[in-house]
Amino acid sequence: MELDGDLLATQAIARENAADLRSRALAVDAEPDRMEPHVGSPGLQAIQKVAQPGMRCLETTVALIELARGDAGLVLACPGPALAGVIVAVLGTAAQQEQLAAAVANGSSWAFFAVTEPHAGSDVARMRTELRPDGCGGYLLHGAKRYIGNGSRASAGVVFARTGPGPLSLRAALIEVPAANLRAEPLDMIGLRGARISHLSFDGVQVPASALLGAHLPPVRRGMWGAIQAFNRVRVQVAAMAAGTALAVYDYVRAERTRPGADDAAILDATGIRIETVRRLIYRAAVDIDAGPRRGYLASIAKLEAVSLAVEVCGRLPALLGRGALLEHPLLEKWWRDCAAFEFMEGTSTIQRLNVAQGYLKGQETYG
Amino acid sequence: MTAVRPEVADCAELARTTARSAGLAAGLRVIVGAGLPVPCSRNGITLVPAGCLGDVRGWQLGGIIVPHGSVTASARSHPLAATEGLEMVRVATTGLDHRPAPGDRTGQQAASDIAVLLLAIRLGLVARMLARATKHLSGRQADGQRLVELQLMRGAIADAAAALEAGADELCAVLASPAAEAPVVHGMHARLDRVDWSVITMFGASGYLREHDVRCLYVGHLVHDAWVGPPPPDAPVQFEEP
Repeated sequence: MELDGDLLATQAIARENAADLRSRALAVDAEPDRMEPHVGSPGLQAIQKVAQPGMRCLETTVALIELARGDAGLVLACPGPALAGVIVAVLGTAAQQEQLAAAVANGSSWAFFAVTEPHAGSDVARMRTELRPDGCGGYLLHGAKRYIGNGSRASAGVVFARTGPGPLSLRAALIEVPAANLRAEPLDMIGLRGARISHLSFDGVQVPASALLGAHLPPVRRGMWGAIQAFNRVRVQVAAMAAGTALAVYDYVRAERTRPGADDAAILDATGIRIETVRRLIYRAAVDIDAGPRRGYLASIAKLEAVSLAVEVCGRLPALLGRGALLEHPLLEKWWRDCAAFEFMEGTSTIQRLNVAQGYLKGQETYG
Repeated sequence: MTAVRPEVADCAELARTTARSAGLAAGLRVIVGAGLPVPCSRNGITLVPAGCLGDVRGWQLGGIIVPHGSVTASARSHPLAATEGLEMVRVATTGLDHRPAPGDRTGQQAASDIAVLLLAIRLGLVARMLARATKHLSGRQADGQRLVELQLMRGAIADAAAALEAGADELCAVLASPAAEAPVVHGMHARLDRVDWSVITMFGASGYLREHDVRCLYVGHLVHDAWVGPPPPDAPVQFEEP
């Protein structure tokens, strides 16, 4: 598919800023809490420009591939509403959207989006975090969330929790941080360390009724309905970052290996073609989400294919630079560590396979 | 099958069982302790078990073997390797003294032996982690079923177990051949790359924590990169679906 003029302009802006992101990648990986030197940099400003809630999925996707081509760790380390903005745009009132925007308005604050739990992963049916009535019309939040990006340094966030046992009891609450009885700790991850992946504990955090998202919507659209839309969109974004990371490795190896032999040239050419094929698939998935946010079939396929691509390219292409390439080239080693994270974000490949099979059996295939 | 080089076969078995019971660093110590020269990158960078420099007899630098006494080895920071009991070192020759290390191995023979021995270590590590993964999957549920009972998971476990059984036989076959053929050994490493990834994913996000034991498979990939490297020119890098 061809990108129109506006999308090409967005892509160009993102591409121009990739080098700035790349120049900061190793510093943020080594010291993810030391963001002061990077806040306000051209690369982070470009991310903030294209990561606005409410943008078309295709536009965000086109930009994210190029920004992750700079460094996906920086993309996820960037202050802003991030995934919380996606869900608040779907489920929030105008006032709640303004509240989140205000919480991160200074350009140096983060927001989190908390679904995954220690014992249930992203299986919302087994979610244990609860919103218990406080007796005064509000709620007390109890439970724990794990593997939450920027959770330890956020000034606001969205937490999914249950108000009761039924399927309609799943709700999202917009909370501001710091909050009494909320404890947040960063986790020491193998890669994608800029995302400051964290563990959150809630031991009776006060949540006013007005903080629950979706109160203005019919009951069936207050919880899972919005969550599914957010998941579909975010899966395409994760796919974009995985493909961008594969592109980063490809660019790097191609630049270093200026005179490849015939065999290596063939491997590089085949890799380049495969990356572009996956890029087109991700674009198609983004267009599908823009047409119908609950259509997740192509989103799951895009994530499956992009993660497989990233793992393959980041793990094996550096070998073209000789023995010890991952130790000789710290950026290649970092991107190889980073790419594994995409497998675990917003549903593992096993979950995506189940989604794809279910979609196919329902006749959602788009080819032929 | 009878091993053509029994000393390598014995070392391989000890390295495999040590890695399975005690981890990556312990397995690598077996190789270093056997007196094999430690391979380095083009610029002399490699990974070794922490605190073992005194046991290293020589280094493979640019296709030649240099005795340990003819180099300086300086430690470099590598936080992930450190969590697995390894350290990154940069090795540089101190002068023009490139006399061969004691023994009669050529650089090519040593490289071949290292590739086979690291294969044994990787088989031991992935066996250790697959057993851990099945225990992990038995303790978690989705849709009211234990994850270990789901057909997708059983398929992944079966593939990994089959690769381990086949790998053990392939290792014996390689040790029984007069000279381990590099393409065969590299093909076996490539298959283990895919098994490693499959086992890593069985732990979900918890396996992405630095504190998790499955980090040994990540660090094992780095050791393979530094100690074995890419296949020879007549055995192109395999690009296959994981």
